[in-house]
Amino acid sequence: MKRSDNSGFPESSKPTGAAADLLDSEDFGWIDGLEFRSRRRSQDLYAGRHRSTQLGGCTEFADHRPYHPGDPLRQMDWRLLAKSDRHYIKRFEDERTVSTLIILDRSGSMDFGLSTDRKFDHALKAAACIARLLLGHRDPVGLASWYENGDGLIVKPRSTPSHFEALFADILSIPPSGESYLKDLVMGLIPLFPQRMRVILLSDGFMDDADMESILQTLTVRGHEVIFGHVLAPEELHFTFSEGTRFEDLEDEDSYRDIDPAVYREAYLKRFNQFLDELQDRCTRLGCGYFRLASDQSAGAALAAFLRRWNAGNFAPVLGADQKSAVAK
Amino acid sequence: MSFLGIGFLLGLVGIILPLAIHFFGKRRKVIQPWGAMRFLDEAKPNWKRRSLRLQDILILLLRIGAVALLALAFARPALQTPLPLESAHEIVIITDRSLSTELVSGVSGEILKKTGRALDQIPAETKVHFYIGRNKVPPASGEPFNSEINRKAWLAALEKSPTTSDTPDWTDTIRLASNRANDGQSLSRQILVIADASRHGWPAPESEVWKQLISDLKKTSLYLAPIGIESVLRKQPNLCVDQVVPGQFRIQTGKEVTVKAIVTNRGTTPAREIVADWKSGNEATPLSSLPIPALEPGASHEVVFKRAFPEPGPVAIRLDLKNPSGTSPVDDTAATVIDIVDQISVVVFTDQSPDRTKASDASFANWAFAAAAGHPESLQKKPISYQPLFHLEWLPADALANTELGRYDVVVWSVDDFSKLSPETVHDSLRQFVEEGGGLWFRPSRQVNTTDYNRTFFPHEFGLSPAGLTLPRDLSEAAIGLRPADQEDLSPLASIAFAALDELQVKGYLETTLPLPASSESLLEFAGGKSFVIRRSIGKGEVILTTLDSNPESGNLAACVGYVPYVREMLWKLASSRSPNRNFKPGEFAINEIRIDRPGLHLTENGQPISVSRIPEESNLESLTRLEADRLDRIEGLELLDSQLNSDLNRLSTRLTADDPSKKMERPVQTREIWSWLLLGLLGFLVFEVLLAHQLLSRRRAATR
Repeated sequence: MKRSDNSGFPESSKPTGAAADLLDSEDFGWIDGLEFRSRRRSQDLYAGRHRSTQLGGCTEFADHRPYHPGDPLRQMDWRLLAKSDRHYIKRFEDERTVSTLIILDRSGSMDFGLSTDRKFDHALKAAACIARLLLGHRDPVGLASWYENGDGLIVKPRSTPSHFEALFADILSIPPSGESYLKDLVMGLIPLFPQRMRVILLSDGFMDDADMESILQTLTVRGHEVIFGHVLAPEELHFTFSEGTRFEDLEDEDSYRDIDPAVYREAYLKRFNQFLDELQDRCTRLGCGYFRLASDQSAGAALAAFLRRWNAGNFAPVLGADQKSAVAK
Repeated sequence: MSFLGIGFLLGLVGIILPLAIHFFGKRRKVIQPWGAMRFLDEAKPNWKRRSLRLQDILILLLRIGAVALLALAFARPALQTPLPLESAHEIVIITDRSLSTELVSGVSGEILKKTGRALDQIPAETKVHFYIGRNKVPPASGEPFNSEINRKAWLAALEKSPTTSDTPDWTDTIRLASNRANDGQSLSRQILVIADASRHGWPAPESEVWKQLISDLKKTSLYLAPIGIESVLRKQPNLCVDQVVPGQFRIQTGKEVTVKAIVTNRGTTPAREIVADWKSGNEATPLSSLPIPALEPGASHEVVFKRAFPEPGPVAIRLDLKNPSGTSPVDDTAATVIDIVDQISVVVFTDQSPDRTKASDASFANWAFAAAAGHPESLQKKPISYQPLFHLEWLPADALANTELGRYDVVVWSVDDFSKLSPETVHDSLRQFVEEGGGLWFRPSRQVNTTDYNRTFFPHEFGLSPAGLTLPRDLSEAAIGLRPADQEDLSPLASIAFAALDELQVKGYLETTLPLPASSESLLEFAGGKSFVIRRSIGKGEVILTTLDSNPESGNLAACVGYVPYVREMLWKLASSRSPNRNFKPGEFAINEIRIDRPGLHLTENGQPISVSRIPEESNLESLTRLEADRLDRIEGLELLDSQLNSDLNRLSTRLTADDPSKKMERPVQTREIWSWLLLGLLGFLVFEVLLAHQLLSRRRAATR
């Protein structure tokens, strides 16, 4: 494939609209050359690079099964027949594509960004990296979020390179605000996507614990491969405020707290770390992937660190970018 | 403490600065949009928050204190320490011996007692000047006080000192005593005035005379130990006990009363008119005025007022002088009310020579009054100087048949020779008179045969034998029993009364012929319907009255004019909420000796102060309201006098012993500036503040790191 630059897109299908701003060469540099393997077998119809639940035309041997009349003789293991005088069919792996749906949280809390970009912008960058990576592998990628009134904003997965611009065309025009409709969105997606797929949640997870549990469980029990990209700002992680501050709720305009941060810092961090631990445990327990997208780190680097472990079969939570490999990169 | 640079105290305004920094600085907050609000809500900070706040407040206080200390230090405060003195203080005692102390029962004795107790409180070796409160009388002593010698000598001198008719001008007396005592060495002085309640001699509270006196006594503490004075001089700032004259004289009346008074012009202009202001209850009464010849300043005039008050109740009288222009200058009047009496009409039937008896008119007036009160004996033992006013008529004995006795209150029957009279006429007339409520006194001469007198004339007529009664002396007067209302098991009241009387071995009785008031109930009666035992509801209890003969030689005490008011006053006292022995045991009788030798204040054997006036009206006998009881006690009670005495003496004792007055007086002082100490304190404050602030900042940084 001819590439004009390291954005990964051919010249003919290179994004030109607002989505073009998401193509940060630095972020893409981190994931260039990586692949996004699927943890589960694909059920897609189209041939691709991922192992399928079907057996078929691949060269990699899978197993034997007894011959039944009507099976194609071409698949008969003649050698085994010669040795054991038994009729067995020789089966091989099949490879298909894996559809991926990126779910972007655009609640008001994603609007936060003090010393870094907004969390929402950071999540968009990560989404762009993922889309670029998957489209480069001809894997279909879709995107889901919600409009201001709570209606679903759904871009169905497609695998054409030009689909990149369509993915982000709408979401870029809607700034994050209001309360979270993540649970409603996920529940609405279930009937639309009956086949197994990969679901990547990019969210800060600031919602009710029971809702989060419900979302993850709903997706995993239906066989979807769920990966949670936890978008966080460094101020949320470390609570670095010092002066007396009025904290105004981003998800509720009328709500605020007048707080002395020095007094609250220890208790806040204790509670917040508890939240992180619980969320990671929940993901591990439900078989979901977890990686942290701290907004003071490169989204590409965090994603690359996650993919290396993920592709290597290490499904433990990834809490940050691999700085050493980044430097080495 | 004083300030040599007091202008710098304006620097205290600077404490606003740390306050402003504290409060306004706190309000400047950074506004931060925030998404993870739920974790702030769920975070529970520990005690550090309060700790930080306390430290903030402590720092604020330190800063305020530092600013204040700085301002105070610049103001150069100085301590003034009094120099030690050789003589601490001296005490001047002025004791009242004016005529008014004699006129009211018990006052003279109280003054003696009070003076004695005041002397007891004086520390040894205190220089004491002792004055007897009469004009132009030199001090009895001016020597250092020796409790063993001076006390006895001074009290003896006081007791022997006769009362004078001159009322001291107290302002002059105090000033005179103060000047004499001031030998120029003592720097502090206390003056104690022990005086009675009379109005005269004391200027009005707002008068210039007082102001001048207080001004003159600037370095002197003046104490008044009043006796029986109702109101106080609250407007005099330097007085510990301000006391003054009640301008009103209270009487109980139901008929015409007469006021006899001596009015003195203490003003500077001649007066032409004496005005009496009568106030009866809530009714506004017009002024009564009496034109008089020109009453020069300093001159006195005796006046007699009469006025009818048909409704019974208290009456207040105020006397004032007016000059020709009609104005009433302040402090121009001193009125001594000698007597306020009901208009008692007495008729004396005698077979003696009217000329001879009229020659001793004054003495007869005395015993006529005593006759009305039922106690002629008191006249023989101790002549009273109290001059009552009577409407007195002298009639020959044979004029009885033609005389309408109903016009009189008292009939004095001083007839020895019965030969010229018809016993029936005398009997009928006097009996009717007594039955209508009149007072009757038989006053035969000593030559008459009493036995014959009784046997031939009275016993069978009046059902009694005045001369024949023989009673124990202590029971010779009356018996009064009080039954508490909360004990209902008192069966029958009459038996209780009789049992008590029997126990007391009472041999004879005398019934009253007065009509019973509406609130009374006759329990036992003599044949013929005359009451012997009377029950009367008073306040919360009941009173059972039995009447006994008061004097074996005299007539019907119970029917006399003075008896009924006495009983009423007694009942009021017993029913008063202030009476300590209010609830008697069933059957317990309060035996009181009736000493109606003169109206006024009396102390019963129970310790109950009572007052006796001569008011024949009993129809308004009702429960006392608290106000009435208080008023009665305040005006006429010895109880009040006693409590005031104790209060005053306690106060005096405190002043003389615990609170050294020399400390309050102005003395030479030495001044010592203390600004350096304040600066040292300021330095300490600043060091402490810096340390605390540093610690606070460190804690904050550690918390946000």
